[in-house]
Amino acid sequence: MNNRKPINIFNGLKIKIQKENQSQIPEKPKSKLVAIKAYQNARNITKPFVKPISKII
Amino acid sequence: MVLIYSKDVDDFVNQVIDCLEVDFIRINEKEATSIEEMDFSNDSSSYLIKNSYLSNINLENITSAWFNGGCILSDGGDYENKCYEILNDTFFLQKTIKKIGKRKVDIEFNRLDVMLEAKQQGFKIPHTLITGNKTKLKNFFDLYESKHGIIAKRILDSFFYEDDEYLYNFNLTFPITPAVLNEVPNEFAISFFQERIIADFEIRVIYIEGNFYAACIYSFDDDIDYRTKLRKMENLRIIPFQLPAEIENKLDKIFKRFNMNYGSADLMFSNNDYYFLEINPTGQISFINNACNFYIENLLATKIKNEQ
Repeated sequence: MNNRKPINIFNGLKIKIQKENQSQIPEKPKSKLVAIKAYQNARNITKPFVKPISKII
Repeated sequence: MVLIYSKDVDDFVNQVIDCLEVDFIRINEKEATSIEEMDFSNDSSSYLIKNSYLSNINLENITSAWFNGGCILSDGGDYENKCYEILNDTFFLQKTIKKIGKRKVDIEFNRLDVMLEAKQQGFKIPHTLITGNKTKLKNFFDLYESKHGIIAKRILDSFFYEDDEYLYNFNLTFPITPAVLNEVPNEFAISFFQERIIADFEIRVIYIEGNFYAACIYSFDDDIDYRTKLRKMENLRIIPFQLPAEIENKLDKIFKRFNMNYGSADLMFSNNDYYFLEINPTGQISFINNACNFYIENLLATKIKNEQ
């Protein structure tokens, strides 16, 4: 399939799309503690805390 | 030539084709079709398509059509498929040929449909080319380069279009310049071009249940689309205008043909001729209403209040 664009894209009326991605979430300070790392990662996955924290520790 | 619009697999269609002893073209939902060009002027019309086994088929020569499901598909994306569907359906809806069956899609109101109806009512229309081929665009550009050039408009009613990087606003009409022509790839998504008419003045007509309110718009700059100046209203003069009865009758027929009792129409007056540009079911009319003191809001409010 050819994803061609119509001529109207040359009319000069365009705005850059700001894609939301993970890098835009402000980073929290990294910690060496495993439990805190797991918590930080959990913000980006749909099913946080796959394992109980007690087991990770 | 006969057009058969069919589902991808249909034994009955094959049986009918076996009995046909005339040329035919079959459009179905699996096989990509390419609209090479649609060319409409005041004197002629042509609609050329090609697919994997036929090329330069002029659908203007179709004498009868059988609509038995299916749809026309481009080899492009969803945007282009939607354009194809609308352009193709519009063309056949307008054609007065023998038709069996009915296209089941409910096509949206579109500028080609209205323009062809206006042509049928006797309005002059700007020479129009619909294509996605750079060579054809270049030929059209060359044809009008020594006159007033060509412009591009959108095909679909929706204003916005998005790709991976940008959100585009397709609302405005814009000129095709040598710089644009230089940037355009050899094949692009099907697009709508017209010769540029230099108008003595433009006319915006407001239509409410058979009542006409018209204003002529004088633009003193070389802008293609006067709407860019509505905010500042500089070098723009808007005054009430009485349309000739003949023009009102033609417009009335067009509005009624599309079951519209409210909307606006854009015309141009050039060299003693009225050119039809488009009809808009939800056009901006307040700038006309305000500039000309029409007080249409009273009429509309009364109609709504009294459920007339």
